[in-house]
Amino acid sequence: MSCVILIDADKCSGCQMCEVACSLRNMGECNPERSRIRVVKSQQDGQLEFVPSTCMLCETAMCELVCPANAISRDPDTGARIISEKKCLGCSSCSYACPFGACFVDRRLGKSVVCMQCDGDPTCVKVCPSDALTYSQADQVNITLKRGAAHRLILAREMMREEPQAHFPSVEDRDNC
Amino acid sequence: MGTILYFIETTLLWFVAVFLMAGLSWRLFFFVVAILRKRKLCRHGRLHQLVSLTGILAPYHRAVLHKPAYAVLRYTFHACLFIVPIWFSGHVYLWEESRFEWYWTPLPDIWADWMTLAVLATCSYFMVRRIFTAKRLKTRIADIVLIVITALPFLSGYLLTHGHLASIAFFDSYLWYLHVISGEIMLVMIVFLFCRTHLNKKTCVGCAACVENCPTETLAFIDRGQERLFRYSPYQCICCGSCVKACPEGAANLRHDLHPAHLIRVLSKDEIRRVELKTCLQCGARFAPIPQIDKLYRQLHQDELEIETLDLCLRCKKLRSGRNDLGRAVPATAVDKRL
Repeated sequence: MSCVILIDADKCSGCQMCEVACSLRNMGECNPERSRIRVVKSQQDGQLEFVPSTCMLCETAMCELVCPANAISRDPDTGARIISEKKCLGCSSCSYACPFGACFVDRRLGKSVVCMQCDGDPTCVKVCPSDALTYSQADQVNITLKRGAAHRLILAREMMREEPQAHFPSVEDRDNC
Repeated sequence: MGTILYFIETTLLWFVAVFLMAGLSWRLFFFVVAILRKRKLCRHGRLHQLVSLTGILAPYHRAVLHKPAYAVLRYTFHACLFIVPIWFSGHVYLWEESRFEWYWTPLPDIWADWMTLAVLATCSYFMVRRIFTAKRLKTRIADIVLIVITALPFLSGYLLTHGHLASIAFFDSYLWYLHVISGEIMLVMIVFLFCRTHLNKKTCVGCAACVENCPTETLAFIDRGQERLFRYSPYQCICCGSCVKACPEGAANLRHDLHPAHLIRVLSKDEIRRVELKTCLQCGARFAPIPQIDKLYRQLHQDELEIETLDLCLRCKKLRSGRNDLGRAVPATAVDKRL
């Protein structure tokens, strides 16, 4: 069963520990620019928002489909994507095709790199101080997400009971506030 | 007339020899200077450097695999071009009789004959190809001059050893001088002969795979404003064919470039291609070459897939994945129509 790095963006404090640890383990230097997990900072209505983002292990992987050299494959044990360094041309097709912008061409290596979950023991999860990153089974993730959705539904029902005219909190509204 | 012919045989030959040596050392010197400034070479390690340097000799390019017959022709042509003038028995005897009294074992005459014929045959093939089939490659006069000058010493040399054009009196008496002077021109030409990567404007998508694979930073790109510029520095090129091998579109092409001006323009860079960059729909940053994104659209369309994020830059895509609650764990953006 494949495992995924589950990201809870609400819990992220933006300390960028994951970036530093990732680049140190995989690239041999502390350089967030070359990290495979990136924390994107955005400012909305004066409020800072941090969004960690890494490879999502898509079922139908765009990177795998568009790669002209067939360099991308799936690790049979962890389910992570592996980009073969020998085959990769560095054309960055995968990074443009990826819906999450997870893989990118490291200009110093000249090759595309992507999160490979540190061979089943992700460093970013180990160093994350605010539990924004968790490493869990893929089916567990679904359960967690469903629980979150149910929790929001309960909240919404309570709000409706208190204030019947209240606007139903959709996903977008929740993110905006 | 006699003095001119004597001049061709003696003084001019010396000039040419000195010019060839000086030109080659000039090029070697600035090649080393240009290479040493590059950190990329050191990064890949010594083995990679050696492999790249021998790349021009080793026939394992993907370009070679595409056209094996043409590659064989090219290698035989260059090998003969190099071997025949040095090991031909007549030349060796001339060296022996000269003041240097150098001698090395000459090639058997029959071999030299066949190799000369091979050079002439391949030369005519290249000429025919250049004129009739390769019009899209934009033939310049220099390209034709290059082939003619290369073929002339071999043709005259073959006629010198194997008979005369008795019917044409002029050639009969001056064939020797034609041989010498065309050989001299060829030697001078070697100094001005550069290699150059051409990126086909129709097929190149601007992905910069050639740049990433170039071991000597001969090719470089820079994203400036709305455009991505590809630059090429002829002095650093080692003709390893990495760009040809790497190009996923088959748009890169290595060709001879007979260009006297390059000799003086040391360390300068030529702009060989310009690609417009696409604007991110959300933040307005220029992030990817338009032809490459178009190609991805087409490719995914063929696979019957739709993807909404092709027009977004990496940062906006990441932000989007965080905002979209579904995207947080299970990807929902990739819509598979086949299911």
